[in-house]
Parts: sequence; C-alpha cells; structure tokens
Amino acid sequence: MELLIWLIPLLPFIGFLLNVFVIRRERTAGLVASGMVAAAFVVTLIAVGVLASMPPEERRIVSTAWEWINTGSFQVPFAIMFDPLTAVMALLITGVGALIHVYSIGYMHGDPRVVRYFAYLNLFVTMMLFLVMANNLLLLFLGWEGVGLCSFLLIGFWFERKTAGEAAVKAFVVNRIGDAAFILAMLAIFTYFGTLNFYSEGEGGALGFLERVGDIAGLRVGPNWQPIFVSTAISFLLLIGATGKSAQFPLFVWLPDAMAGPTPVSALIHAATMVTGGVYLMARTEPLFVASFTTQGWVTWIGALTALMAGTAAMAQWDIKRVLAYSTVSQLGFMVAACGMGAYVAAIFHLLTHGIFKALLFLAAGSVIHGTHDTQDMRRMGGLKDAMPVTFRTYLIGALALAGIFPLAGFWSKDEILAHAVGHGHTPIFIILFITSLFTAFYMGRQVALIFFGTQRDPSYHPHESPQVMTVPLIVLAVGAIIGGAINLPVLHWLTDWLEPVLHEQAGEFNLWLALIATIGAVGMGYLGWWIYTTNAAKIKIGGKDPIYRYSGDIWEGMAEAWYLDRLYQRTVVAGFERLSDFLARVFDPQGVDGLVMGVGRFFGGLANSLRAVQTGYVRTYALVFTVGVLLVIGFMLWIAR
Amino acid sequence: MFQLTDIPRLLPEILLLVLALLVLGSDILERWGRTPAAQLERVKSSASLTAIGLGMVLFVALLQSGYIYRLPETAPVNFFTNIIRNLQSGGPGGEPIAGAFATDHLTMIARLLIIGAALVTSLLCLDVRPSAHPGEFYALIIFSTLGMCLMVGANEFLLAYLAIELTSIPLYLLAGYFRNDPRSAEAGLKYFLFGAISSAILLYGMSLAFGAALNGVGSATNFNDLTRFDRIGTFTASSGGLITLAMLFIVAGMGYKLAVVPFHSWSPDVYEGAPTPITAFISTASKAAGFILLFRLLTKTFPAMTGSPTLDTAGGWTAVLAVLALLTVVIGNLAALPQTNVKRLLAYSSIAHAGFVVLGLLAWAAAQPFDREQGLTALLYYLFIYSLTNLGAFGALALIGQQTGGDDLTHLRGLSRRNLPLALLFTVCILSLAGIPPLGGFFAKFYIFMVGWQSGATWLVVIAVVMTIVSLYYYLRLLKAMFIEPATDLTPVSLPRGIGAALAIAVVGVLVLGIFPNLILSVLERV
Repeated sequence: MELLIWLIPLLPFIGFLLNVFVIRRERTAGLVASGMVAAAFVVTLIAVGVLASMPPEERRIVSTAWEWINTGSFQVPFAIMFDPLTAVMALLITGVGALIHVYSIGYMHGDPRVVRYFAYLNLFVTMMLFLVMANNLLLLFLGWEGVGLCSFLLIGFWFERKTAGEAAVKAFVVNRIGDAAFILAMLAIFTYFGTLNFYSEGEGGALGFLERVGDIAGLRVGPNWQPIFVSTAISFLLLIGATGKSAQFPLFVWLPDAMAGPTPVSALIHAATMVTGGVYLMARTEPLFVASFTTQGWVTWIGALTALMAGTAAMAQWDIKRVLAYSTVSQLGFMVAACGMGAYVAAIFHLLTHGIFKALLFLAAGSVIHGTHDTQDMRRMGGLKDAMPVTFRTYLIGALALAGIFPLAGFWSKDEILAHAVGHGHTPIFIILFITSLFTAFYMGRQVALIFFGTQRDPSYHPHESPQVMTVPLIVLAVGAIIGGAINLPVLHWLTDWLEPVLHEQAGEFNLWLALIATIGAVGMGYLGWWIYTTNAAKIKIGGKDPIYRYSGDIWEGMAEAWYLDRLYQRTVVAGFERLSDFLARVFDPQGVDGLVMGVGRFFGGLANSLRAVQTGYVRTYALVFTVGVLLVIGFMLWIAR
Repeated sequence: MFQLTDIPRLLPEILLLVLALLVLGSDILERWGRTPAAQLERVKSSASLTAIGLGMVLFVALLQSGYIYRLPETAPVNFFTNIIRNLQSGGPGGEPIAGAFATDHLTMIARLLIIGAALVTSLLCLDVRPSAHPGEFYALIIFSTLGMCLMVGANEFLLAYLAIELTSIPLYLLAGYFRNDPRSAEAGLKYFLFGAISSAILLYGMSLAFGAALNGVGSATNFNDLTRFDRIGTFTASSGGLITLAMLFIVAGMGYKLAVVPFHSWSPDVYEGAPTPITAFISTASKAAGFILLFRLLTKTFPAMTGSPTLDTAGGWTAVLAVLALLTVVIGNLAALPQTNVKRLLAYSSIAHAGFVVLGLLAWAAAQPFDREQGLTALLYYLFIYSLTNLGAFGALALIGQQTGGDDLTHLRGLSRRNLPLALLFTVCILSLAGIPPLGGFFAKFYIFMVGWQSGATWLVVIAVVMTIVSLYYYLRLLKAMFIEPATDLTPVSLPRGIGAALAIAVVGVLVLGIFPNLILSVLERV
C-alpha cells in the first residue's frame, strides 16, 4: 500500500524524465505523458478503494521514503500521506490532468517544442501531487514552489509572444510574495511546535502540529502595546501565502496575465489545480485557522471582496480567456470565503466541481481559439454555434454549471456556500456572494452570446470544429459538470462523510427557498446577459466599446481594468523599488556602467596613467565609504551602549 | 611546541606547498617559445598538473578527515593500513599545533571545502587562455588555497594575519592577471589598494586587542601565548572600551574579506574585472575562509561581548553583525536590480548571500549551546551549497563570456537555443541561488533563517525573507534572457570538457545535497 501511494506522484515523474531524456518525437511525447497521468489516476482510484475499506478514523496512510533533514531537533521526513482530503485532490489532479493531457495532443499539434511542453506538464502534475500528498509543510512547500516554477515555464512557453515573458516573471514574483509569508509561517510553526509534520507518523510517533494546536492557545507575541495571538500570527502568514497562490486580493493581478500561456495550461494550472493550492492549504491547516477568530474574519472578507471585484471585472472583458481568468479568481474567492466561514467541506466541494467545469470552459475556449485560428477577442467572433456544434454544447453546459443552474454541478456547491453564509449569520458576506453569483450568470450569458450567437463579425477566418482528440475530453468533462454535484447532494452528503475524519464537519442544512431564489436569479441574469448581447449584436464593432459602456461609462472602464489594482502596483510598488534600487546603485555603485566606460578610457594609457587615474579616481571614493562605514559601526556601538 | 608528530596533521598544507612549487617549476621544463602551439601546450600541462594535484590533495584530506572511511581499530597491520592509520592519526582532534593552528573538525571540513573549490576552479581554468606564463597563474591559485587553509585553522593573531595576506596577495595578482585587459588591470589594482586599507584596519584592531590583553594580564605571566584567540578572550573579559574598539576594527577588517555592506564596494568592480574563474574562486573559497576565521575570532576572542541581535538590550558583536547583515541583505539585493552586466549582477547577489550567512553567526547569541551548534552547522551548510552554486554559475558565465565575447545580459539571449545543456546547468545554479526547492539553495536558506529566527533576530529574518522576493526578480531576468528572449546570434556554443566537468560537479552537488542534505549534515554536525 505504501508503495502504491508512492506510485501516484512517481508515474508522472517518470513521464517527465522520459520526455526530457529519451523521447524526441511529438507523438510519443503526448502518448507517454497522457498515459502516465492516466495511470496515476487509476492508481489513485485503487488507493481510494483501499482507503474506503478502512475504518473511517484510521483512514490515513503515511509513508516515509527517507529522513530528508535530520540534524539535532530539526527533523523533516521526506514523507507523503494519503487521507480522504488528499484523495479527492489527487483524483481531481490526475483525472482532469489526464483529460487535459489528451486534449493537449490535439491542441499543441505541430508546435515545434511539444516534447518540452509535455515534460513541463508532467513535472507540474508531479509537483502538484507532492503539494497535496505531503505529510509536512516543508514537502508541501517543495510542491508549492515546484508548481510555481512549472507555471513560470509554461506561461512563458510561447516566448515569441511579447507578453508571455513579462507575464511569466510577474506570476512568479507575485507568487513569491505569498511564498515569503509561507516561509515565515513555517519558521514560526517550527519555533512553537518543534515540528513541521501535520500529523504523527504512524503509531506512537510524535504528534504533528495540527494535532497540538491547543499548545499555543492564549500565547501572545509582539510589542507590549499591541500583542497578538500566536495562532493569529501563524494563520495570517499562511493566509498571505494562500492569497498569492490562489490569486486573492490583493495579489490576484498575476492570474489574468498568466493567460499568455497555452490554453490547456490555463485549464490545468490556472483554473483546476494549482490556484486551488491556497484553498487546500487552508483546509489542511484548518485547526490553526479555526483557532484564530481574527484571521477567520480576514479570510472571509478577502474571499468575498475578491469574488466581487473579479466578478465585476469578468463582465467587462473582451478576451475570451480573460473572462474565464477573472471568473476563476471570483470563484476562488467563493472558496476562500467559505473557508473563512468555517465551511471547509463546502469549499472543497466547490473546488472539485469548479475544477471540472472551469477546466471544461477553458478547454472549450481553447477549442474555439483553435477553430478560429488563434482569435481571442470575442468582438471578432459570433455565430460559431453552427460551425462548432460539440464545442458549443459543451461550452453551454460549462457556462450553466458555472452560473449555478439546477441541477448542474455548480448549483450544488455554490448553494452549499450560500446556505452556510445565511445559516451562520454572515449576512453581509451572503449579500456580496449572492450578488457575485448573479454577476457570474450575467457574464456567462454575455460570453455565450458573443461567441456562439449572432453572425460572425470578422469574416477573415473560417471556423471549424476541433478534432476528436480535443472534443472527447470536452464531452467527458461536460458529463462531469452535469453529474458532479452528486458527490455531495443535500440528503446523501457523501463528501461530508468522506472528509469527516479530516475536517470534522457536520452536513449543512439545505435551504430550499435560497436554492429557488438563487436559481431564478441565475436564470434571469444569464438570460439578461444573453439577451443584451444578442439584440445588440449589431452594435459590437471590432475594437469598439461595449453596448453597456454608453450607460455606465467610467464604471465599465474600472471594471475592465479590474479596478486599477495593477496600475496602482505599477505606480507605487514597482516604481518605488525602481527608484530605490536606482538610488542605491548610484550611491553604492558609483562605478556603474558609465564609470566603467570612463575607467576603461583612463586605463588605456598604460600602467603609469592608470595609477594616476586611480589616485584621482574611484578608489578614494571607496576608501571613503569604507571609513564612513567603520565610523558608522562605531557610532552604532556607542549608541547601543549608551 | 611544534613536534615531529604534528607533521601528518599539516599534511594537506605541506602537499599544497609542494604542489605549488612543482607547478611553478614544471613550467620551465616545458617547450619554450612564443608560438600559439607551444603556449597552448604549456597551458594544458600546467592546468592538468594543477587539477590532478589538487584532486590528490583533496583525496588525502578526505581520507585524513575520516568522514568517508574510518579505519577500524581492529584492522590488520600491513603497508596500506599503516599509511591510512598514520594519515588518520593527524585527523580531527588534538590541541592546536604550537597553540597556533587548530586541527579540529571545523578546520577539516573547511579544508575540504576550500581545496574542493580550488579544484573546481582549476577545472574551470582548463579551457581559459591564461597569458604568457601559465605556471605562475596556476601556482598562484594553489598558494592562495594554502593561505585559506591556514586561515581556517588559525588560532592566533599572527598566523591569522599572515594567512590572510598569503591568501590575498596571490588573489590581487590573479584578479589583475590579464594585464592587457584594462578591466582586469583595474580590478587587480583596486583589489590591492582596498585590501591594503582593510589589512591596516584589521591589524590595528588586533594590536588593540593585544594591548588590552597585556593590560589585563599584568606583568606576572608568560607572554608567549598572548596572541592566541582564547588567551585574549580570557584576559580581556573585564576590559571596557578598548576591547570594544578592537572588536569593531576586526569586524570591519574581516568585513572587507566577506564583502558585507558597507565594506563591499570593491567587490562588484573586482568581480567584474577579474578573469571569471578567479571571480568564482574569490567569491566562494575566499569568502568561506573569511567566514570561518571570523567565526573563530569572534567566538574565541570576544566571548564576553557576544550580546544579542534582538537590539533590545546592550549589544555586542552579534548586534553589530545583525545591523551589517541587514544592510548587506537590503543593499545587495536592491543594487542588483538595475545591473545589466551578469558578472556584476552575480557580484551583488554574492554580497546579498553574505548577508544571509551572517545570520548563522548570530546564533552564537542563543542561550542554549545546542542552538549555537545549529548555527554553525547551518553556516557551514550554507557555505558549501553557496560555493558549489556560485562556482557553477560563474563557471557557466566564464564559458559564455569566452564564446560570445561578453558577459552582459544581452549575451545570454537565446542561450537555450545555442546550447541547451549549458543553459540548463546554468539554470539549476541560478534557481539554487534564488532558493527554489528541492535544490540545495532553498534548504540552506531555510535552515539559516530558522537558526536566525531562534537566535532572536526575528526582525532580521523577516526582512531577509522579504528580500528573497526581490532577488527572485533579478535571477528571473537571467532565465528570461536565456529561455524567453529572442536570440540575436544563433551560432552554437560548445561545452568543453573541463568546464563541463566543473559544472556537472556543481549541479549534481546542489541537487543531491538538496534532496539528501543529511549526507553532509551528519558530517557538519560534528563541528
């Protein structure tokens, strides 16, 4: 059994190695990569079967490969585990991942670097599996950074496109802000608990920190005038880490730009799996979050605010992928808000259904892009439903699921979050999330109308349906989007029971009135979006303004720019760092580039000249800096000893 | 007193001296002449002699240390076991030789690091064109290595000072070795002038400490050993301002060796101008030796004024170092941002890394002896990983500079299409510097942050972690140039065997020590 769970991450890793060192042909690369992930999916299924046959409270398999770090009290095993929460994540990653790999065979056909593409993709799946299977924070961090690296490589994959390189760097650096907080959280956890393991390793082992959260109850740190609880400090740092990876306010700016990568990558990494890493982290370290009332408030509000901001931004986009990107951010906001309200099962439920239908939407969008010869601007589309029937139908299913129409998958998971908000007295949060869900229906109606209805606005291309290797994964995912809600139906609540050993949560009440109102609202708003953009189809011009722009003006502009958050960072943080580093380079690096040219000029005259140049040149400056440094250090000493 | 039985304990140093003289002398025996063919032959023979010789010295040092293989007590007595037994009798442990040269675990480990770095450097030089007198070039590297080996074992002021000079003077010459290249000449001269200033300050600090010890001891005792670190520590425990001043001067003088802000300003120029393999050597071995000497100096000479890096209470040298680390980490990382020359960029990155290493020294302020030991282990681990990585990075850069004609960011463009293996090797080194798991660089950083955190310098760790975000940005610029930006020139870049081997050592080391850090931690822990 221990061997079995090691197979899950190792199979894609073998695929990665094969693709790097052995395979040179496009066809084999795609087949091997897809085959390995599919095999990992099968193994995961078997492992889930084994897990289900165990008594609920013992459902955790831990396996240590070797002592990763073992020095004094600092001990970290290279250990993975398989428990109910990991199981559902691994199923999502390998299942949706395998479909996306297959789809990529068709989508990337003819690209000059396909082998490298599949190598990166396999490495990504490996790292993502390590992220969800890790038995300690440090190994989780390995996966966490690994997926970030793969994301960087894959966003910049089409480096011929100008924006790709910038977007890749931006994604990595913004993510790194969250990672820095994550590192600090690990340091703090180790300081207070002396271990980074989540749970004890097998029978009789030392307890993990999640089992000992009670130890820090009531402990405070910080300056005397404003001490904070240790649990708050740690969980807040983890929250910052999660906002980076899961693209939450204020760090969501990287995700829309990340759409510069190939579309299957957007589906796998930037919709279904990697971006849910933050939500997974919060669900995994749930005892720490629950221990801090303050942090939970922050989590809830960050999630709700992100959902609203990104939901409004999604309404005003023209790029087919940017709509979906903002929609992803918005839905992640739902999950985070659910975590904040303590509805961890609902968050994971939404994570799973969202992973399926958002992957479906991205892949269908990729099919549209593929069939229209790399068109991404929805103003140049229109009337594609006849040319691309399969894509149209699957897209429609995905859109309905995302909008939360009964009885598709999105309805059940979203309803569970909303019902929890109402049932536990989070009225303001409920209002925000409810409005956002109406917006969601609106922008999906708008998008479907713009892409598939009306007439084709740009006649320069001939749309065609995608090959079967791409449409079959779409159909499979569409089936998933229809029936996916079944895993946690109100009366059966299988998922709640399954996750009970990890999250210890009771099934929520089903609120019939809420479900009715939400469905009616979603249908109405979805129809409204569809109606506005089909009746006004004639007014939409390539490069033109949105029909609603006439009525809303600057608000629409603000939505299109995601409320100027990006520009704010550009003008403050980025510009600030540039100024500061320029200043420091001028003061501490007087030689610089200009000085070098001058220095070279002075040195051409030979050694005698160069000696003179040095006497009148820069060494004097350096010596001055040195001496000032010594004086400063002495001054500091005097100051501190005063 | 020096005894004959101490000779095996000094064997690596003696072998280095012999090797240096051999390399210098063998050059005479080679074919003379100014034709390129003759030159090349001389370069090749000197270089291979150096590389093979250093490899043998490394092997001897490794065997002597007993870290890989320790001869069992019950081993049979024969010719081979006798050799090993005699060698290992000079292994770690024992009183310092003549009170001046300690041969403890710290020396043994540092020796391996330094000789290893010198070996990799000599591999890097295999394919570089040293000018007319190759023998000199390689002999200077070995002399400098010898100086560093003495430096890490020095237990006494005079030996420490002489070792520093023996290390530095060859490096001045090596930095300025390409006399016809104005940048190199400038680098050598600057390095020398700056080194002279800092030597003076260091010597001043030492003399003050000696004077303070003389005051403390009165006239009764035998003076002979009064330059020993621990003696000075004992006798100056109660003296006030004078010894503080001495400590500050010593920190400032050593700060120059380590290139910590504000004593760093020479390093970007020197790193940029010196021949790239020499830059690699200066930035790794010389820095590592400096850190270890500083560690001995501070912990043995000034144990009474350790202080605390929290800045809450009256500080000692940990407080000073904490402030220097803060400046170094912030300024090193920020000043690297606008650089367009890769060597200069990596120079600032090395400055920043020195700031991280200082965190390991701060652990000496921890209350528990156990935490102090963790600090030293973290510091050594960091030095090992950092040296491997930087040797790899500068080695790759040496090749790129040689073949593309420059080491600006623009010369890196499209490297992945010109030579993918080289680009990948370079990438691993850069990612390790940036601290991406599972490479060694990540774990080294994490460990040293943890040690710093537990020593009470939480504020410093927070700032350092934040600065790693900034550092990622400039490291990514290198990756972006290699993989994402279009190439201006698509002629393939070849990967010669010497540099290839050196890069492979570095990359494999970084990977293996990152995934299995216990391999080395179990040795480092013995310190």
